[in-house]
Amino acid sequence: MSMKDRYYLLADQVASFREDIQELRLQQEAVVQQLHRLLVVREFDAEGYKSLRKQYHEIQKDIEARLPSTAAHVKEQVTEHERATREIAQARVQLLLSKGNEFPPLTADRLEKLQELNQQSLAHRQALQNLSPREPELKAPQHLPKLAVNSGDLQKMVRDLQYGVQGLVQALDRGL
Amino acid sequence: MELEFLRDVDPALQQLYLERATLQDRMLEAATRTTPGWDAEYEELRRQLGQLDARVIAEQGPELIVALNDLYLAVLEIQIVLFDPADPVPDLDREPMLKGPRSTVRAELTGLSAAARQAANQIQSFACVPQRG
Repeated sequence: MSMKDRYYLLADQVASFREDIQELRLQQEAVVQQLHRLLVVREFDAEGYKSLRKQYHEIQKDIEARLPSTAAHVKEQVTEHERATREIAQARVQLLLSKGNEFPPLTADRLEKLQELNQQSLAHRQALQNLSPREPELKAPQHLPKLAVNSGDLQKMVRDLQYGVQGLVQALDRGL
Repeated sequence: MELEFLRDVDPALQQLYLERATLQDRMLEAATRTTPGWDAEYEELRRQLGQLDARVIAEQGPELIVALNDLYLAVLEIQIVLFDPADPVPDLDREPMLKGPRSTVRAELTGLSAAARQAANQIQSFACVPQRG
């Protein structure tokens, strides 16, 4: 197999890996939705909940087995930011939805508190966007070097290919 | 999914619940923004909710508004209990984030689910009240 063929084969594998992960994420999301729906029905189905929860964690294990080890650290950071965002959302709900005083007028102190909460939330969202590699990147287009042969640049292209292949091999070896 | 609680309720009341809940969701959403004008939008939605409630109170009495609010709050809290990004499918025996050490997700959900059912039953009782005008 030529180096060029090997390069494309590896690039294809990375692409299919990304699709696999996205597919698993979609399956997991569907499980979560079913599960949340189960909780608001009239008769709570505890066995159904347990079974769906098991499915969720099996999918999660499958996803984590495919992610590179560096993703674990990023995941922790993502979780921290999301937890903080959730606490802010809860504080906001408490401010606006106390029983018997739902959606009160925006008095100056309430307005100030809401603005403060929203700024904090924005800061966490921006921090989340700056984390890399994040899972949304799985959907990002891949920028691969063009392989159209130009005799003048052939040597450079081969070198690029070698580096590209080495990088991909290392990434695949790590389980990316 | 909230409508599951209202399965046996008069369709007109289901529609009323949906209309109010949509306004309430939009107010909550407006209050999460940092862009200019969110507060004016919140107040405008609040005005619309006030108008809707005034009409309902005139036709059915204030108890229906209380029951509709109770259902909205119970369902919202069920969603909040579950919405933990680190564990979106919580173990039913774990502690919910906002509650004391003796409370569990199961206990919390049981209470909220009962509150939602009670509110739905209360709403159902209005189905037999004849509309005025």
